[in-house]
Parts: sequence; C-alpha cells; structure tokens
Amino acid sequence: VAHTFSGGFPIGLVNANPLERNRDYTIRRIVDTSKSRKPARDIAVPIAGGYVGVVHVGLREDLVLAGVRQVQQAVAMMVGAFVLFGLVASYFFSKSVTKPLEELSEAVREVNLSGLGAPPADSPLNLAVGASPLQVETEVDRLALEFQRMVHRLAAAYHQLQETHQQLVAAEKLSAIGTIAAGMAHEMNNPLAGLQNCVRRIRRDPHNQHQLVRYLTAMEESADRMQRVVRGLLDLSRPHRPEIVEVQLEPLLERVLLVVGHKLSEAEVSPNLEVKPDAAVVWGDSQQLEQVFQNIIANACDSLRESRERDPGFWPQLDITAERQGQRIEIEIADNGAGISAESLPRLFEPFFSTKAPGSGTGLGLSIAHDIVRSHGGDIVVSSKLGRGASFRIVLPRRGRPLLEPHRES
Amino acid sequence: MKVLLVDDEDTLRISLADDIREAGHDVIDFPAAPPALDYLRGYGDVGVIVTDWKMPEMDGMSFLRQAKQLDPDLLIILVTAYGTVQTAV
Repeated sequence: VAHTFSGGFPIGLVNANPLERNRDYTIRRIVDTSKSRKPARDIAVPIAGGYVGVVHVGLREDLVLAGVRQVQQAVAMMVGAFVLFGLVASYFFSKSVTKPLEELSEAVREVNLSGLGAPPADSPLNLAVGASPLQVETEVDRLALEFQRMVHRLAAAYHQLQETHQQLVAAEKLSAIGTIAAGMAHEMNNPLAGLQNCVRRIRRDPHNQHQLVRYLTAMEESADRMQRVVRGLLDLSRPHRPEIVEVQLEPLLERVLLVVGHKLSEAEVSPNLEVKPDAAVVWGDSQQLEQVFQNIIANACDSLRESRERDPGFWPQLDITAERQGQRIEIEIADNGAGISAESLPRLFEPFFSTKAPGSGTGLGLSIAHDIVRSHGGDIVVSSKLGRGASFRIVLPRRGRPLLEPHRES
Repeated sequence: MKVLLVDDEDTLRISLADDIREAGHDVIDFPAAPPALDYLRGYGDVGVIVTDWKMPEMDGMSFLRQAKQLDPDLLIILVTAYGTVQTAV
C-alpha cells in the first residue's frame, strides 16, 4: 500500500470505499469520525482492471466547496462588473444619441416662423449638420438636415400666408371704402339734384317771394342733412383711438338721457334705468361711449314713436340695465317698439344702411357706435324680432383689458 | 290728367312739382310711396306717375308694381339719382 498521508495511514480507509467488480470507479462519501469530523469523498479507480490494484483519492468536501465558492464569487464579480460596465457604456452611448435629438427638438420648438426663416447661427439645427457636407454622417445629422429643410419650407409658406392675409385686409378695406363711397354718392345725389333744380328755378324767377321762401327752407334742410352725412362719414373714417379711463356708468347714462330728452318725449316714453352696483364703473372713453348710447337710445325712441303713431293704444317701454358678467360689463338697451326684420339685422352696422324715413337718419349712427365699441375691445350684440322690440347689448371689458383684439382703422 | 309725383327729397319734389305745374299739368306730390298708393286707390284722376327710385319704406319698383296693378294704363317716369340707366330700366 502506497499512500500520501504524512502521518500514519488509517487502514480503515481501504475498506471504506471498496471497488465493486466491473466498475470503472466509485465515489463514496466518508466521514472520519475520529479526527476533524469533516466529510470527504473517496474516489476509487482500478488500475489495469483491478489486477494491479486500486488508487484511492480522497478529497475533503469543505476544501472543494471553498474552491467552488471562490470560483462562484469570481464569476459573480465578473458578471457584475460587466453589467455595470454595460450600463455605464449604454448610458453614455444613448446620451450621445439622445442629447443631439433633444437639442434638435428644442431647436425645432424654438423655430420662429415670422423671423427671417433661417435658424440662428448657434442653433443645433445648424450645429448638428455642421459646415461641411462630409460631416453629415449619423442619422441624427440627417434628421437635423431634414428638419432644417422643413423649417425653411414652413417659413416660406408662412411668409406667403402673411402676405396673402395682408392683401386680403387691404382688399377688404378698399371694398369698405367703396361701400362708403357708393352710399355717400346715393345719399348726396338726390339732394344735390334738388338743390340744382331749386337754384335753376330761383334764377329764372328771382322775385317770386313765395317760391323763394319755400325753396330756401327746403334747401337749408337738404344742406344740413348733407352736412350730417359728411360729418358722420368723417367720424367713421377718423381712427377711433379711445382715451380709456374709468367711467362712472350711471351718471354717463343719465347725461345721455338728458341729451336725447326731446327724443324720449317724442316717443312719450320714460326710460327705466338700472345700473347694478357691480357695473358702476366701466373702462372707456366717456365721450365716445356717450355717442354710442345716444345713437342706440335715439334709435329706440324712433322705433317707439313709430309704433305709437301706428297704434295709439301702444305703451312704449325702454329699459336700460347694466350688470357685470364675469370680466365684462353688459349694458342692455331694450325697447318694445317695431323691432328689426331678419333681413335688416345682419346689415345693421353697415355704413349708410338705414330703415328710417328720409331725412331722419344718415345710416351712420349704428355703424359709428359699433366701430367705437369695437375699438374699446368690446362688441354690440343685437337681438330683435319684427314687431317684438329690439335689444342692444353693449359689451365692454370691465378693466382696460380688451375682449377682442381692438381693430384700428388707418 | 293729373301727375302724381313721389320723391323723398324735399327740394327735388317741390321744384319738380313747380316745373310740371308750369308746363300746364295738375300735380299732386307725396314724400313717400304708401300715401301715394292710398291716393291712387282713392282717386282715379292720375295719368302719369313721376317717382324717385331709391326711397325708404317702399322703393320705386314695388311702388310702381302696385300702382300698375291699380291702373295698368298709367304712364311712368322714373327720376333717379343713379347715374346709369340700367338700374332705372
């Protein structure tokens, strides 16, 4: 028996793991109960079919397991290191891809189409592309290039749109001037023809006192009316740049009612005025606002007078109420007069549009009122039915903040 | 035969009425179409209508249409402030 034990050889080992016949090897777990009590594995391998002898190799389990554990730890550490490295590397890699993309999207977001079209020199839209076409390599660069082209196309389209819009506005203004000129021509032609005919007749018979008096009265009225038309037209064409200040609504409306006093007594109506406390103050140009209310209340009076003339039993009513609606002040002027036909409603604010008898209206009053309110950043809303009265709601911003983009005539 | 004159413009109406009267015709004049129609319904002595084209309340065209229904033999003369004949005819 040859062995590698440094001390004595425990003879029991030979029989602890006997090799069975016809087997290549056997492994048996053996426990040395006398000494360290640590289990070991004994491997028995026959030499030359067992005729020469058997080699036993003993391995202590704890030592083997320690070795295995060491390898496990090494592998685990290596895996961890690789994962960590992968994470870090992929982070930086993705950063290198997403950062240009983020910059690109930021640049696209900041593109100002109303500018000159080209992005600013330091924009990533340029940087990503670089100066030389050779640098166009990555997908991101190509994307940036496409974006840049798209921005240029968009800018061109935007400029074209703006130009078209300006042309449209100019055309609209021209057509408005045309409407005004046509209305003016109609309004002026008849009295002018009348004046000419009167002058011709007076020249032929200058000493006809009776004729002279009749003609002069009529001519004076004609001239006055023409003057009103011209003055109204000037008011209309003059840009309304309101002087916006805090205006006490109730005193203003009372002043207006004084001014239109004769109209009210003509219509035999005593108006109800109610200004709610939260609508005490509006923001506007008091003179212009007076003109607005004056025009609308005068119209209401005309309508009421007409109804009264038609039906003596008619009881005219005129209600003026002001109240706050959120950020707006609404002043409603409602009458129970003749009302406005559905055909007339959409044309109400057109210059020279009038439903009144000749001489009593220029057709400019409501047009001017509408223009004034619009230049205050407000609006006039009309609702009416023929025979059921009319309601004009003048909507004004509560503070100096406009409800609508103030439109200016130039 | 009477001439019925309708025009909302006072200067034109009274001076034209005097012109027609001087020419030897009877004239009755109105500042608007509805009372002129009332007259036509009440009296049958009108042979010629001279009317303005553009008038509030009732324009010349609808006035003439109704007048022609009352008396198809009426002669019509349009006085218009429009420069062209197209709108008048």
